[in-house]
Amino acid sequence: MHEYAVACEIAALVKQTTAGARVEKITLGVGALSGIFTESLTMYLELVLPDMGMESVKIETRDVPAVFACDCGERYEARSILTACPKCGAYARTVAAGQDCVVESIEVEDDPEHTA
Amino acid sequence: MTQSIRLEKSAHALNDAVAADNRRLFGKIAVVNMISSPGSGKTSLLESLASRMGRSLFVITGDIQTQIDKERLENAGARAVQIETRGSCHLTARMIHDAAERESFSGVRLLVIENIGNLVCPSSYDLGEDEKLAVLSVAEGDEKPIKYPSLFVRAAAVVINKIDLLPYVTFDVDRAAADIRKLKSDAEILRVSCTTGEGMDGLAAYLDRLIAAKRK
Repeated sequence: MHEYAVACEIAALVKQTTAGARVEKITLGVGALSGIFTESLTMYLELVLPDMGMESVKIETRDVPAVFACDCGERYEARSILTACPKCGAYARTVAAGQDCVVESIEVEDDPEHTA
Repeated sequence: MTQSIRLEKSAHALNDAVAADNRRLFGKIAVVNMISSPGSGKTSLLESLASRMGRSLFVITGDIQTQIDKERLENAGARAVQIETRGSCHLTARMIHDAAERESFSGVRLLVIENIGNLVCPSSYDLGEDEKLAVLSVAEGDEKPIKYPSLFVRAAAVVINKIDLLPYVTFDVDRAAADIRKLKSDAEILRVSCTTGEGMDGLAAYLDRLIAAKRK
């Protein structure tokens, strides 16, 4: 729903991290519970990145499943947040993974001055 | 030649850094990020709290446009600043920082950030709050927690508002409460009507505990 805003945040983070180097590829991990629609995020990144001086960047996305950690110690994957623990049947659990959208890695062109 | 940088940072990393600055700025003041759909009664609840707390309640209130909420809250006795987002469906830590850094918080016990009415986007932005407080009104339907889990899985407390309307609507409070607990087993559930005042003591007591815990 707010993929445009997230695309702007990612672009700013990438720009800050790469400090002017030519960015070739960004790999994102999109959590199943992040509320982010991957196709929409990619579309907005393709619009926003060139505006920030990053042209022809390849965007790779990876679906990150939701992982829950139950109070009983069990960890389990589930598609819905309303899935009870398969071991004890309780809902007392925290979300261990899948809630975030993460910038996993960035590929940049090596600075020729460094490789020379 | 290509060089790969392993980053593993949240897309919200820059927002989260500003949120951490906000936490330092707010110090020992209890800070609540109030999130709900439009029309659930956030401002009315805050007016009711303002009549109890006066100027020790500070509200940063967000809307897409208008200063209406700021005026209502000031008339009720609280201190308030308005953020007009001009379109953005959620508040960001930067917006809070810019609004807060010009203010003095002397004498403030509780800062409430009244987010844009929206059950989706605001839930993923840390603003520097201690807790998220969700508001759900019985006029909206009891299935809202399971339809919009991203908020209810994070909210430490949920106000079920407008309970004076229960005789006229089909809202099943027990079902909503059970679903909220499935999403967050330790959620505090507060049944309130800011129109009749029923449950306001419970809400005020909950906030007082938060204020006391923060001052320690």
